[in-house]
Formats: sequence, structure tokens, C-alpha cells
Amino acid sequence: MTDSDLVSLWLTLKLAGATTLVLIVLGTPLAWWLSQRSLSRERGWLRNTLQNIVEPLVALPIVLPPTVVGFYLLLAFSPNNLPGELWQSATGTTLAFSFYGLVVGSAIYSLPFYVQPLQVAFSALQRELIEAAATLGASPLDRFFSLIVPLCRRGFIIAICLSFAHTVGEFGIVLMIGGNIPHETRVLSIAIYDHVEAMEYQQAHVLSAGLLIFSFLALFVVFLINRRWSTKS
Amino acid sequence: MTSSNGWIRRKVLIAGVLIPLFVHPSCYADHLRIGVASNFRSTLEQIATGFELAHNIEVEVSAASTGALFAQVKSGAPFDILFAADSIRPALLESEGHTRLRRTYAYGQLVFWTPGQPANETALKQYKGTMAIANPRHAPYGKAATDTLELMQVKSDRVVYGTNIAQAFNFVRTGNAPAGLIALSQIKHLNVPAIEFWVVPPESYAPIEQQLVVLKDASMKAELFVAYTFDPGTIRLIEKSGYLVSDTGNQPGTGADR
Repeated sequence: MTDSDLVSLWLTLKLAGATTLVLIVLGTPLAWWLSQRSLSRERGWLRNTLQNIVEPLVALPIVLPPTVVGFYLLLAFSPNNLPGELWQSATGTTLAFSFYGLVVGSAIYSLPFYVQPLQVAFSALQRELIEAAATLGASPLDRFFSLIVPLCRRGFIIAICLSFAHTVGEFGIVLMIGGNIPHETRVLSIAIYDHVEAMEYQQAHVLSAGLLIFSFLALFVVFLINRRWSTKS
Repeated sequence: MTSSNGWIRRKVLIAGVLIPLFVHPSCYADHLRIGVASNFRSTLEQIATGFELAHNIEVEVSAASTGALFAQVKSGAPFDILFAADSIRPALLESEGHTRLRRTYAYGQLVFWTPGQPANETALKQYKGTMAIANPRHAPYGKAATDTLELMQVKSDRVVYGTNIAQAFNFVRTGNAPAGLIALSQIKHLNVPAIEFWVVPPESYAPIEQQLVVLKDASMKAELFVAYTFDPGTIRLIEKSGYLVSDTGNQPGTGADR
């Protein structure tokens, strides 16, 4: 591996890590909210309708080509348009061609891979347990961290593994908004594309085989956890 | 299981109906498939339309980067002619025995484009912001752009790479990069006001020699298309689209120099 490939590897891990962190912070409450369907038709009407709209929105990146997301992000990031303009006036830089831009893109693109497994885990929780903890005086935060998180650890680990691995495997969006800058936006998938375009098949092989093995291991762990813990609990 | 069998059967049925729809064009006897580098796409489409009218032969155009087209041809993509954006890959294809004809059809011209700002030599030399160019590692226009940046000692604080010249163009057009070194053909296609772009003198960079190859197993009609490409009327169209065409009969870069 060349030095520039090592830089790309580190950048890829950094991007996947940052994206996963963002998803843990933003995706967890979203998954929780989506999992809490109201049982009463009349009182929960608004909430259920909102959930019916948000749930397919979260799943959209699974079916949309990355080019669609990439194209709209490119327009949104442009200083000619409002989101890009706000970012530029706040930071003095553009979101396109920057690491932060990639984090935004990756978080959107990996959102369903984080939210969906977690939502399933939350939905499977027994409400009685949480209500019992509440009657014993546990605060909502306390209930979440000492009851819900341990009970849903399988969902959390799967969600984290999948969103990390999916971000490592991202290509289309980064290609469209990244600008191929070493240390900032040239992640592994882009470096591979570059090597192939430049006819450097040997380097492309090294990186591709590495990604193949990594992705297999990530999925192997996900399935292992799924099988082990589902028989235990 | 039975339901999944039913599903498979339905899929086979649907495929049976749909596949003939897609197969149809290749059953056409008089039919050419042309792969073209992104920068030359719109020009080639105009040439193809004229050719179809003149010869009643259908032409299918696929655009991609020269590198991608090269890889596709090497793995057996069924193209008859390839219009590349460089001369390196056509020469490689020739040396590996994939071709039966190689010729230079145009020289690309680089322009400095700053939407909303007057563009000229001084503006380029003093430009300090983000500059979009094609990736110099594999895109010929990218190589020409780095040549120019170096020669003119441009102090742009950030150079961003499009995977090809089309993407570099899009970075500027969407406003994400305030300026770029891109192809004159793209500017012509968009009718950009003359004040906003400056044609970089060709001496500033190694020539962007664009070559075509007719592939080994191509249809016999391919040579007809090549002849049409070098027809005086077509050459005028190519020049109007923003390229230079060498007017001498012997094309530089073909033959023994590689």
C-alpha cells in the first residue's frame, strides 16, 4: 500500500466513525420515536400519521440511487442556495469538497441502516418492564441507559456495525460531492476508482481485497450476534 | 416454498415479455455502437444524427470517461468505435491488438471559467479560491489543467478534482467551486457569455490529442462513420463545438510515434 492509500484508509475509518457517532446521537431518538406507536386511534392520530410519513423517508436511501442523494446534496451545498449559504456564512468554507460535507452525506445515506435494526429492537421491548421501572421511581434517562440500552444491546451493536460498514462502502455520494481531495475526501472507494481509471490494477487489487475481507468480517459479526443473542434472550 | 416458486415463475414470465424489447436494437443489421469520452458526447451525438440521416444506419452512443471505456473494451464491450479523450489509451488498445484503425479527430481546448466574473490571464494568475479541474491522474483535461496552473503559477488555495471534465464543469456550474479549468466544448454547449471565460493558449499545456479507434471486430460500417467524421462539413461542426482539428491529411500522433 502506498502512503496515499494509507491516508485514504485512515480517512475512511474517520468518516465511518464520525458518521456512526452522528447516527448514534440523532438516530437513536428517531428510532425510539418511530418504535412508539400509539395504541389509541383517536389520541395518537397525529403521531401515527407523522410516523407513517417519516418511516418511508428514513428508508428512502435504501431504494434511491446514491446519484439522486448526491445530486441534491450538491445543489444544497452550493453557496448559491440557502443551506450552502448559511454554512458558508457560519464557517467561511463550503460543505462540498469537505470532510463535514461527507459526514452529512454519509449520515443521510446510512440512516436506515442504523434506525431500522434499532427500531425493531425497541418495538420488541416489553412495555410492562419499563412501566415497572417508572413506578419504582427511575427517571426517563435512567430507564433508557440502565434498562433499555442493555436489553437492546443486540440491536445497538447490529445498527452500529451496519452503519459503520455501509459508510466504509459508500461511493456514489462521495464521488459526487467529494472532489477527490487527499486527507479530506479521497476515501478508499474513491482511491480504488482512481487506481482503476489510471490503469493501476495492482493497487486497486490490494485495496479492493482489503475492503472485501473487511466487509465480510463486519457482516459475519452481525449475523453471529444475531444468532447467538437471539437464542439466549 | 410454493409461493416463492410462483414468484419465480412470474418473474420468468415478465422477463420473457421484457427481454425481447431490449434485445431488439442489436438485431438491427445496420447498427453502430460508439463509446465516447464525456467531453465529446454532445458533438458526437450531432455527428451521429447527421450520419444516420445520410446513411440510414442507426447509431447508439454511450458516454463515459476514457478510462472506463478503455476498461470496458478490454473486457469485451461490444463497441464498434471508441472516441477517446486522449491518445494514450487508443495507442495501448492498438498495441494490444484490439483495433484496426487509429486516428486523431480533434484537439481539446482548455478554458478558465469564472461565472459572474470577467475571466482573463490576469484573473487566472491572481485567482486564489477553490478551483475545479478534472483528475490529472487519468483525465487528459486534468493534466492540461495542472500544466497550466504550474506554468501560470496560480496560487489557488484548493484544487478539487472531478473524476472527469464533465464533473469538474458541474462543480463550477452548481456554484460549489467559483472557478474551474474546463473544456471549451462544454462552455460552447452552454452558451456562456464570452466575458466569463478565457481560452488558455494551447502552448500552456501538452496537447489534448483526442483519438478514435475502430475496434477489431467492428461492423464494416464503422469505417463509413470515420470517413463521415473527417468530412469537411463535420470538421466545421467539430471546430464550432470548441475543438481544434488539424487540417493536414496526416494526423500527428498516429502511426509510428508510439
